[in-house]
Amino acid sequence: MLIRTFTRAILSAMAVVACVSATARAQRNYGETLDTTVALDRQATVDVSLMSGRVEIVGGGGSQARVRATTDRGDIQFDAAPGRLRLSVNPGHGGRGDARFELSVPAGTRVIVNSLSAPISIRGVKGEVDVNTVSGNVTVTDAARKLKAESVSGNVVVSQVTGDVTASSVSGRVDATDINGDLETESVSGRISMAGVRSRFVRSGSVSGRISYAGTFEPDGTYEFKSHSGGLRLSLPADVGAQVRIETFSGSVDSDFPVTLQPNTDKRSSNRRIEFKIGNGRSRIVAESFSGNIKLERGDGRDSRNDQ
Amino acid sequence: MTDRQMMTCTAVDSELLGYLEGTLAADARTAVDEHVASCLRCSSILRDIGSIRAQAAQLPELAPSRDLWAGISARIEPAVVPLGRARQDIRRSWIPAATAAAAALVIATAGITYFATTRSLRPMTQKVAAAPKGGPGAQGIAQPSIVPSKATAPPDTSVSSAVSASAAPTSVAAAPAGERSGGRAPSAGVRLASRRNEPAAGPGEIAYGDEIARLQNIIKQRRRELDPGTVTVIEQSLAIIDAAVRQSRAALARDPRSGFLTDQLNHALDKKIELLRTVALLPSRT
Repeated sequence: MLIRTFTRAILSAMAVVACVSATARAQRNYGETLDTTVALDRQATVDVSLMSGRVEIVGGGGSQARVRATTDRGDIQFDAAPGRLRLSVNPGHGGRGDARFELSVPAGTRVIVNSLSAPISIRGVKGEVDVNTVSGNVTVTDAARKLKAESVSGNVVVSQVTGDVTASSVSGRVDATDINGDLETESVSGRISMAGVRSRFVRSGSVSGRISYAGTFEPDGTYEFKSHSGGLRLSLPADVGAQVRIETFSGSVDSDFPVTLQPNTDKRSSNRRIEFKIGNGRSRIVAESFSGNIKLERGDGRDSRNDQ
Repeated sequence: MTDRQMMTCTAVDSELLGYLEGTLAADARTAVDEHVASCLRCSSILRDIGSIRAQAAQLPELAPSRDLWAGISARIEPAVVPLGRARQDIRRSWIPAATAAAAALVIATAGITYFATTRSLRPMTQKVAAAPKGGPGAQGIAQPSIVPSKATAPPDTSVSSAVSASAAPTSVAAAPAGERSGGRAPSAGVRLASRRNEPAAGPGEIAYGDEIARLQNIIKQRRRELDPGTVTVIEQSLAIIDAAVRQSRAALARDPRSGFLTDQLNHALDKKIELLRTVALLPSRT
């Protein structure tokens, strides 16, 4: 009798231990953590995707990438080879929780990030960057060669880029600062601000978002700004040489530069079109808005007041 | 050790095409499978290709935002010569006529080839991007906006409320004859005309209807997959764009010769197409 009772007690204890062990294992699998360092070629590609959470990628020296990742739910998927590193959350295993990805990568690495709502910060990678997000904010500093950053409702802030830049948001703000290369910015209702730009080609368009530009106007460069109802404010260096065309349907035009009005060639046209030359007239500036106010101001190419 | 166990990454590379096409022999396929199961490089490549194929299959059919054919055809089509004069000159001018006939034959052959190719690809894309014929299909996030000719809609008509997808053929039919004589049906879901320099041409007749309807149909199907907050932002943005379209159209109606206003209208419609395309390709919230 005593032996039978003892045996039952032992079996019950074993069952309890097994249950606790299984539960603990299940909890471990619920979220995951990864902390590793891998060798990466210079100019390798780092490809990161996640639904929500946070992404921070920092460029540095050396030839190794440090990867720290945690998920609230879901499995971390991690592939690494010298030419490519891939990090994502497996959506098939409860991957809808937040994930936090922190990576340091060698300078020159090409970075691709796709996200639904995670804020994305990329600093100092000195390489090509391609970022897509739906509602997250995007901040990219110190990239090179080519930068493409898009968000639907998040803000897109890019700075210190040597290379061609495309930055767009539907309703978020777009800031491009210290850009040395071709620059294209787009929005629907978000404000677009460009400052410290050195470029031979700038194109910026919005529907209702205001657009401001402060930068150089290179000889033979082309600079186009177009909105429907958003105001346009262009800050031109005092020594600028440009052929300027301004056109608006119902907006006002204000210029710090002397403008010699030319008669409109089409008398029936209802919109106002002003063309004039500043200095040697070598660069081409076009500013068009349906109903937004257009302002040309003298500036130093570094900053533009965006207070329309 | 068997041959299968000795398969290298290079050997897998050479068999990859057959493996993906499903034409590889059973033994070779098994060997590739065994290698891939233990090789990070090859498994990554296969996963990448699979992902690309899956994503490519999801892409909607994109139509160009501008139909350049009308302008091209206007330049390459031979001038109309009065019949009497042509008869008088027929002996002297047989070489240009033969050249024109040869050119027409080449164009016709290219057209038939294009038509046949397009038809052969159509079943796959129509499933995703079929344009709604009015009714429920037309009710996406916002109604499609079409720039009608002056005869089909008043210039201040609300884009989102007055025009349905079924209006596209009306717009097409109302396009100027010069636009329709280009030899290519203007109902291809792209812009029917663009800004012209000739004063007599008036404002460009523009039809984005088919493409907008296609995209809205995709968005309608995907709406539940999208984040509600994002849908709200998109609807607000579409409302802003539609207001810009309405204002541009109203101004253009008062000044139909204005290239600036035509450009403004095109800009707003381009924005709408761009936004709808972006939404159609947005990742699912799940």
